[in-house]
Amino acid sequence: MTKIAGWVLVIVGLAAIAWFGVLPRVRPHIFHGTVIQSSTAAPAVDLISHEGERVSLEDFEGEVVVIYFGYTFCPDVCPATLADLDEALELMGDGAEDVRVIMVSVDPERDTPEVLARYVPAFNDDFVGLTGTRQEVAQLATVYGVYFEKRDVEGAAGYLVDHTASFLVVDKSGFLKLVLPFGTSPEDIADDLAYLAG
Amino acid sequence: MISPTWPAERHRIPAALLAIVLVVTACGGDDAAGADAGPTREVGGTDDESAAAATISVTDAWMRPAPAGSATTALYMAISNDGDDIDVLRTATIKGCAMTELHMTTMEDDVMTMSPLPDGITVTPDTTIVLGPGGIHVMCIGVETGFTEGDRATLELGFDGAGAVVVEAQVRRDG
Repeated sequence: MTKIAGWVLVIVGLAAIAWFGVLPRVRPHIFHGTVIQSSTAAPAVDLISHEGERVSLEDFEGEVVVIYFGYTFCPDVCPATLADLDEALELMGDGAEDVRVIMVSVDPERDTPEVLARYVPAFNDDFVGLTGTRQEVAQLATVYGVYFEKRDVEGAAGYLVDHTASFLVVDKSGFLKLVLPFGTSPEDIADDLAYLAG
Repeated sequence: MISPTWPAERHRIPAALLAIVLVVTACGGDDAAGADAGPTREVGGTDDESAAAATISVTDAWMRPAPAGSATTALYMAISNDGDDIDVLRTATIKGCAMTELHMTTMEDDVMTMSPLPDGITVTPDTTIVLGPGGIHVMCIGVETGFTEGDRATLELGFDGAGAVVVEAQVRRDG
């Protein structure tokens, strides 16, 4: 009887090691976002940062780059997304060192580098705000499959900008890898980014 | 009419918590909002940001931090109509903002669209409208004094029926 109990214990122990120790390593990562199988490198970026310097994706070589198209006059969805991304990076701890978050302004008329410098680092010192001419931003949005359109409204705002709410992730090799929708929890964002950064 | 189902599930106040808060505000409302109460009622200031008027109660008011000079920020809350009549929130004023407007974000085919609500927000009896990220919000345009985490922002709401309701909102990063 004792012998049988011993064997049961051994089997349970081995199963636990397999379940908790081995399977998570061999099981493929299940992404929370939509995976993109790109055959070419992510489209080139060439815009002005909130520090007034020209920035390209090559500046972040070897990093996972999150690209979000938003604008500073947007009080609701844009800060919610940037706050979620900041929280995701906090959850990742040291793993966040290899992740860069970029917000490309879809409102370049209002969002000068100075305006972006007041807005973007308020969420995280390492976040980068990018702007350019309207044509430059429109070209970049098009090649990334992002929609935006200026719309006049009544009231003090004057105009607002409709835009794609999802954000994109470029992997360490420079390939567009993932699209995450607005509302993805910081935990899920952190899970996907940690996998790509690992 | 504004549907009470916004915003997305993850931002909605748990029903049980809201129920507790509403019970608390209903009890406090007897003293604060009697039949002879003036047109302006100063409420809120508790940890859960409860506010009570005769028929309207406002709970969990919070606002995103924004430094002075920022273009905008947003304020959120839950508005409950505990009375028998439809009430409409027409105006909102945040102290420290050059302009305050009621706005709504809608999402269609992954495109975010924000629009002012010039006709206000209708709150039907026995209904709670939850203002939250990705849905209805009070938009502060022109941040004058700056709001940092831990501050309290003063908001005055103007209802057709309940009159003026003053709410203290917590300044914090997320709901």
